[in-house]
Amino acid sequence: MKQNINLYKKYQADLKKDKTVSAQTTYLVLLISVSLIIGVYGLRVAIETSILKGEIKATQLYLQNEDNKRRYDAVKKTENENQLLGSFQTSLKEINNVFSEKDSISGKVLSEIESARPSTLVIADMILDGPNAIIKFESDTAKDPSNFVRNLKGSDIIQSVEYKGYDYDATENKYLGSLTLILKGNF
Amino acid sequence: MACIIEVRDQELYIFKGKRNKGIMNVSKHFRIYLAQPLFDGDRVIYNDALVEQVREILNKNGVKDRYITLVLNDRIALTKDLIVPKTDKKKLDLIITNEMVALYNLSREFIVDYRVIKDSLSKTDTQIKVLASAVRRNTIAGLEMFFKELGMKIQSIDTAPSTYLKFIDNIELIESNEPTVVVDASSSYLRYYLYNNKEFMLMRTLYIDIEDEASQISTRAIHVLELLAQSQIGLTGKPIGQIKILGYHKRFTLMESLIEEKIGIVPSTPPILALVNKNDKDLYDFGNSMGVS
Repeated sequence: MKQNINLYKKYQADLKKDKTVSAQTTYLVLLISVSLIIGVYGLRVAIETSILKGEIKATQLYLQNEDNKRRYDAVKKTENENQLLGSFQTSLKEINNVFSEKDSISGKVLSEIESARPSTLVIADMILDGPNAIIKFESDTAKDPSNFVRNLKGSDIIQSVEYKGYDYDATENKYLGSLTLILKGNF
Repeated sequence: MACIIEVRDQELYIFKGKRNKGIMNVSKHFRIYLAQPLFDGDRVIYNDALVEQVREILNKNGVKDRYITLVLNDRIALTKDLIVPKTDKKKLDLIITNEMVALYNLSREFIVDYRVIKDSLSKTDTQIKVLASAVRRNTIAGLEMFFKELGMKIQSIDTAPSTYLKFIDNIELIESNEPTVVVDASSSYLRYYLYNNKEFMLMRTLYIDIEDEASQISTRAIHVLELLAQSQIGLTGKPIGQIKILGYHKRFTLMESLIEEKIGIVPSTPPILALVNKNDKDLYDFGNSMGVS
């Protein structure tokens, strides 16, 4: 049974309570603020993730679309053709360079042919046509044409050698043949 | 020995004493009439002049107590007896606070406390009678500041009706079962306590302003007493049988003649000085403080 009135004790208890409530309010505000910040950040991340997922899905759909695949293949084919045409263009440029520069025959060509020629092989005729040189020859032995072609292929100034073999002339007892040289650009 | 200070509008009643085996051993009792009222509305005025005046008189009378008990005896403290359901302390606190808020239209600014004046007598009795008081927070804060300036720390604050009821109980003033009115006829107020079957029934207060005319005071004093008498008849069917006068001894003669003339009852002045170690009529007016001790 409460026997005494003590308004001062109540007053002090209320003050203490107010301070506690004030501290609790501060903590609550702080907690709400942090929660809001985390919430907003989380929402932002969620929205961004959602947007990215949407973009990924759209991209996947775009990539998986048959029509797009056909277009991609067509583009790829065109690209390959372009690459091929590009290499053709490079070759043509090179050939054109050779053509534009081949207004004279370097003496080195003749000396290379001469040094490649076996001693028993005789050059019967030689026609110079741009980067090509058509050489007709005759020899006493069957191995001379082969040696001649091998030597020419080892030369630095010759791009390629077209050789289709030789014929044997029994009356003359000679081996007759011809070959076509394709010279390198600078020769 | 505790120092009790009864705070009135423009007076401080300083009392130091202790009750021992039914006798009140009083070591100090004196009044300080303040140069200006202590309260302005609900605000406590504490200026240097007022603090210095009180400090000087306290020092002169050798009061150097650090801890004090205050008894509020002014309109700033609202006091009411209530009948409430008997329940646990926490709920009781809430019920009484709500009752006071509803009764006086109080704001949250008020501090409410109570004491039980009649507990339930049997298990079937589900109600108790309490005396509840309410004071504004800033009034208590102001008093705290005022007495802090004097180097004093408040230990508790009670209200005058609460301590006076204790005083009446302590000196066993109510001897008869017939309806009795105890009049605390002090200098600045008249407070009536109605008892029936030795149980406190109700209380009324009439504050006296310094500018009130004597005839007006007399008329109002008797009017309140008549209302109490009518209320008593309504409640118990019995008329008031006894009227006892305490308070400011210089009012006793006037009140006695007034009551005898208007109400037709010869009031008595209880011989309380027989229960006090000092034979000083001024002690009649220290009932509120003696109720604390």
